[in-house]
Amino acid sequence: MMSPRILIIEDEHLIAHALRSALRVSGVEIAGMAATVEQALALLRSMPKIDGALLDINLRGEPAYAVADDLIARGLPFVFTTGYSAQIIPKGYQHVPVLQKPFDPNEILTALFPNA
Amino acid sequence: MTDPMNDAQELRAAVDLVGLGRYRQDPVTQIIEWDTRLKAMWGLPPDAAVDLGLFLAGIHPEDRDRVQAALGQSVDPEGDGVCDIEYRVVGVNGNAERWVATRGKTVFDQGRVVSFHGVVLDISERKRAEYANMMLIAELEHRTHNLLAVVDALAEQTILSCETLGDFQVRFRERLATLSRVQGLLSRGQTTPVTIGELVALELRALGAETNGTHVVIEGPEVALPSSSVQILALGLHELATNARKYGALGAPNGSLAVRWHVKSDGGQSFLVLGWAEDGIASRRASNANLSRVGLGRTLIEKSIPYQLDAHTRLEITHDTVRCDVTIALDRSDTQPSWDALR
Repeated sequence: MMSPRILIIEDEHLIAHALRSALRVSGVEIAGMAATVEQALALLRSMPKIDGALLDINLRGEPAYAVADDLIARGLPFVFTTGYSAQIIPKGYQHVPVLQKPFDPNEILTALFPNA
Repeated sequence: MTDPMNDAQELRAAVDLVGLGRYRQDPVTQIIEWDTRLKAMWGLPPDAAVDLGLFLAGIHPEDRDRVQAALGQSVDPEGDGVCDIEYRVVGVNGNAERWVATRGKTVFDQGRVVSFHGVVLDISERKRAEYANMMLIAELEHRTHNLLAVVDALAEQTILSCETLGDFQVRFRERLATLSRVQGLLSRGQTTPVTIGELVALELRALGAETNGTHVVIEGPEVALPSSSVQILALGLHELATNARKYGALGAPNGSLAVRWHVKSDGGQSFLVLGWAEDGIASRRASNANLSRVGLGRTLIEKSIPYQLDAHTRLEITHDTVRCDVTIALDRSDTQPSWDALR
């Protein structure tokens, strides 16, 4: 993949901001950042081309599984990011890679595109 | 000699005091019998006839296989005949949920069951306490990991704006100290929310800026902050304060700082409106070409606060003044999803 376009869905701005800088260094294009479920769904509707997403499972107090379902329906790879331990992820999403915070931004691309 | 403590009446009293339900298989008729208390746990009337089907029907579907396996093991003549298992009971109508512990014993004679009996105890209280504990640990873990991720991001940001390691050490340590003060405030819990006045005073005091009524004015009503806004506001206030000390009103001979806030209502929503105003800083500005530099303070105020709160912000720095206005929605729901809602 030449320059994947990634969506960062994370409600803590400092974390989103740092991820964006780190991913840009790795040649990733940041398609957008969203802090809420609503914003994330709107971005997914309006974005013509996205190759993957980072998804915090807890967005301003709301579980983010509606966004996960939307990403799955679109066939887009994504990674859950969370401060909780991975055991919290419901059974239906067990195929989704999980990065527990804080994580090395270099892990993101490997988790998103294992075959790249 | 028989122990008088073991007579039937004494034992019955003990069973009642503990709240044990009992079951047994009649050795002659092979019929399973339950006492009234056990029937009540399954939502059955005292005169109900019971069988294995009813027993299983009252168990939480997710626990049924596990219970059946344990029971099967306890009636295996090759085993020790003991059944010791904790599981959830929803009752035959499926409308209750309690945790019970069952201890049973099967006695065999030459491979044949000669007695099968046991007791069932409601352990819902204990399970609730264990669950609350587990939630607390999960939330603590969540908070800790998120905080470390914020620290990680702060370190990155601080490195970008520092020219020497010594500079980094000072600034990073100050930012960590702000985070540390915030954790102290937040650990008080939901019952005593953090107020904006408290946060402003705390951050100014940390830099040695006491409110003396002339050079430094802090003024506004007591307003409780949504707990989700405390950390990012504290970081923003810290950056304003530290810049005021280095380049602004907190070090200028004729400088003055006023932090004032009020609550306004608009369309049924209330907002906290806060203004940070520094004046008389021209003397310090002259030696500092720091007007347009995009530091962490500017990022926090112009980007982070609007991104993660329902807020509008404005930061304006001139040769003689600093103005920062922040408007934050106060009614925002302030509940973190429980660990339970995420599973």
